[in-house]
Amino acid sequence: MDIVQLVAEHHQAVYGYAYRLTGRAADAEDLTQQVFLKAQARIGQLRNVSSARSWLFSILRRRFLKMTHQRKPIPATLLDLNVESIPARPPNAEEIDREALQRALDELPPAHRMVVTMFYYEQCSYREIAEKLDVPIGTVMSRLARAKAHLRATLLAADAAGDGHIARKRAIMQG
Amino acid sequence: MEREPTRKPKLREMLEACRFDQDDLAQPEMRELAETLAASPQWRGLFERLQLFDAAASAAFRDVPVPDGLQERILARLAVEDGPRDVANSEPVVARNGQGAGETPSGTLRTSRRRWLLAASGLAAAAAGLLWGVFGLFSPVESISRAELIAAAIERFVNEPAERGQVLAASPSRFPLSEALVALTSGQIAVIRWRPVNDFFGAEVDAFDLIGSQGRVATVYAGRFAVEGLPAEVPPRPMLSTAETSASAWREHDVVYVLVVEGGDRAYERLVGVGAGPLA
Repeated sequence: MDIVQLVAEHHQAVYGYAYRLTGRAADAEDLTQQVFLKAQARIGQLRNVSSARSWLFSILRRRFLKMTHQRKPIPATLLDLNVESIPARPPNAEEIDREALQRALDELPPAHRMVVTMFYYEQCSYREIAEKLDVPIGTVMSRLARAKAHLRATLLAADAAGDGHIARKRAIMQG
Repeated sequence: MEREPTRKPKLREMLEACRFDQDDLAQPEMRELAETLAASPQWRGLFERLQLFDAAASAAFRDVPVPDGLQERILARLAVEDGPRDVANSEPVVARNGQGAGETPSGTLRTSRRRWLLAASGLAAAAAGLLWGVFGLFSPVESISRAELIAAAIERFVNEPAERGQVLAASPSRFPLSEALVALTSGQIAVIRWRPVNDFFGAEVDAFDLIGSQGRVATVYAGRFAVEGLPAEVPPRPMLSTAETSASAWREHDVVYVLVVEGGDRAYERLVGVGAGPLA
């Protein structure tokens, strides 16, 4: 596989991942370009074409963690662990407010943002996250639980502030 | 819901970390959660709701609109990083064309690199090197593609230090600034400053910084380059954009101009007058 093919097949997924991590289109695009620059320089290390996406994602994670211009996140100690924020009737994907989702992500400390993005975007298990980030399983579980609870709480708050857009969308979709 | 288990943070963390589509519940560290789920209908209900929420959140996470032209911009950036080395090898490229089937591993690498250069530019790149020797129209500078030229200008624009040039009227510039561009941008530019750039694809060029009330708005690089397919007037829209710059190139007589504007497509169009319609 050469770099042109790599870009063609994976640039959208890499950009999406970068956008979720950075929260800004311009930062996501710059990060995406950095990922492919690094990939170009190290393409000889890619032995298995089927693992290309995972390889690109690992480059992306390292580049993201090196970025220093993060906005002020919520201190990790203020993140609640709250299973009660699981709504009685979970929303459909279309009902989730994308802006509120990104806003909630942006508020998380980078380490929490990383694990929750790996969980939801990359579809990693907690074991895979621990392995890829080289952190203990217990740490992953703790960060994941708090990050997910924060996302849910923000989405629910956004829904309440937006006069229940989930309920309205449901009504529209149900005719 | 049973009060006791929900008070156990570890159990709640396990619940959040568990994915139903994997064998998480079979892992030894999840044994307590598996037992709780087996014993408690309330916890099973909570777990099912959480899984539904996670599925919806996963889909929402992956729903990211990708900006137009991203792939082209990535390839152009890659060309900038690797392009000069390829350009430096332009003679072996010409020689390789006659080599036939016996391609070496390094030849394969060069062919691969060439492939993405072509993809990046969207133009048939090379041949200009040959035209060069035949026609001898310009000073002896390597032939380059339009995309390479513009991408190199963007790279320089983004990375060059903000040095202060001389006011244009008093400058010893080697190339004239495009009068057409000056006319298009009049009213937006407070002052134009000149500075020499001594190594731009191995050539000497002039850089003209267009300074507005808030600082540098754009830079025009002027020089002689063997580039095919350039228009004869200032393009109304950028030919290449990155996240924060937009650029174009054109030729007037024997001088090639590359304009790099601070900002995206709209900033470019505003500068050259396309987007300067009446205010709504």
